[in-house]
Amino acid sequence: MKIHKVLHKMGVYSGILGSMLFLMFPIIWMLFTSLKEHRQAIAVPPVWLFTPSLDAYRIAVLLSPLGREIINSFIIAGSATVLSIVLGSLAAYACVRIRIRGSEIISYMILSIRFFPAISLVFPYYLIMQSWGLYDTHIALILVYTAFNLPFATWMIMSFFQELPREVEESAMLDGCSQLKTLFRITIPIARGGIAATAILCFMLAWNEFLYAVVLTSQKAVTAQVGVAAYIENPATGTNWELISAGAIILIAPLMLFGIVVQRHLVRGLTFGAVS
Amino acid sequence: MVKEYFFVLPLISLVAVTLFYPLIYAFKISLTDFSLFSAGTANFVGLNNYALLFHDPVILYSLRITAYFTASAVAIEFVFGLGIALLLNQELLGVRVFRVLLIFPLMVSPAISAILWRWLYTPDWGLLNYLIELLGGKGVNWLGNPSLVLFSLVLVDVWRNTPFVALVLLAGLQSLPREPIDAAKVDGASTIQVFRFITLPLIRHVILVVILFRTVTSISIFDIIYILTRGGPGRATDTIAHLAFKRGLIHFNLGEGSAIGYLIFVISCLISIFIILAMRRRR
Repeated sequence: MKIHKVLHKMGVYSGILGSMLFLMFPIIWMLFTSLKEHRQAIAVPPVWLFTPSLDAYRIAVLLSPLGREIINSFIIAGSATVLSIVLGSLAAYACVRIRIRGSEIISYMILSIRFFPAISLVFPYYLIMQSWGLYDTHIALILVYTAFNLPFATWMIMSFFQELPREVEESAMLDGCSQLKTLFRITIPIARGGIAATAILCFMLAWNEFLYAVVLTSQKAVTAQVGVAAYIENPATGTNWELISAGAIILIAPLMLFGIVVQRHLVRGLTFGAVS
Repeated sequence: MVKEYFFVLPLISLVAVTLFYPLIYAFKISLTDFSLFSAGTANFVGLNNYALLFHDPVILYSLRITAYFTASAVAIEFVFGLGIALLLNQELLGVRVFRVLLIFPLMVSPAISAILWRWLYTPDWGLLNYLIELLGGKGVNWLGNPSLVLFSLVLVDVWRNTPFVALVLLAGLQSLPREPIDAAKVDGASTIQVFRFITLPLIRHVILVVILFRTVTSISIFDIIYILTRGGPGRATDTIAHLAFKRGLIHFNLGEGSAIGYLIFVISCLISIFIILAMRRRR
């Protein structure tokens, strides 16, 4: 009986370890590659022991367009996130605290926006941005990402507001607070954990977006995602895998840290309340 | 009363302007032969572009490729994800650490995941072929072999999205009541019997939602195709979203591109309706 249990445990652990190896390995290998020098990076057979060097990162960020592109990504994703959270909090508060007829229908409509295929709207957006003179500007992508993130942010923040007890807000309003003041002074601070998680998810979506970044930019507002992908296509830089890896790791790293912070709310965010 | 609607106004007007207006605009474009090469002249051609959807062998082929891709990816992700969820549902040491590690591929954007795997797939100095040859096999041309390339892309998608399936299923498993399972075990049911007759039926709603979710997202897959193969070799990986992009923004035939985009939209809508119905039933 005991042997049976030990074997079972061993089986479970090897299954988990095998899966984790598969999921972690590409990222880890990319990290190793980014710490090598060029000849080591593309050597066959692969080099396992080497002295790590941050040269690739230095070149990628300081000497190539990638540094500017990373800044672009930060500006665009950051602005879109701030806008989404501010406007989303207002709308979420309204839907939750104030009886608006048809708010459940609005909720489901918001949900279905998430499944919107990005490709279906690129063509009108391309033409609209061109005609407004916003092609290849930061504003174009900020507008697009805010638009796509706002319904999601509203939905998430709504679910966090719904969990708050009404008594605190009601006593504040009895003491003379207006609804707007209640929102900012009481509701948001109490829900700040969930709102932070929502902000991180919004940032992630804007930071990782690719299709609109490719379509709506060409030189000035190019985001880092497009920039790193362009490295590969450019024959001059296509084999500098230590640089490409450095760029990829720089793009992944902030999200990894954020992901660890937000992981408790991640399932809710990813499935919009379908589960737990 | 009016003041309360004021709170929702930014949201509703934003959705109207950024979603409904472009949607209508896209439909308008799809009814013309608008091409940037014709210097902006757009002649109304009615539903010609949509008729193309049924007659153009290229489009029909892309739909087939997309169907293969979606079916393979979702199936593998479900089986793999369910396996991981079941493994992590045990009370074992360190399970929480693994749950956190599970998130990492999800944080990687589809574009970067394509770049990661491009590096692994490189024929000459790529790690995958090296490992295969180390084990005695012969390296393959992951991205250049037309019979293999679709599977290579499916693998990238599986790598990135299995954690999502696993996390959702794990949450579903952990929200199950313990009594039925314990009672069955006391009655002498084996692990497999418990799984088949008790666990699985109890989480069937979660399974349905996650499969529909992955399906509707897979249909518009674009990033990894664009970065890894551009639809090639030949047209072996030219999925429907990539074809729409090609027609609209590389051949600059925006009328056709919009029509294909609308087809994708309609299909996604239908699946989304099922998702919402499935989620409502759970309430």
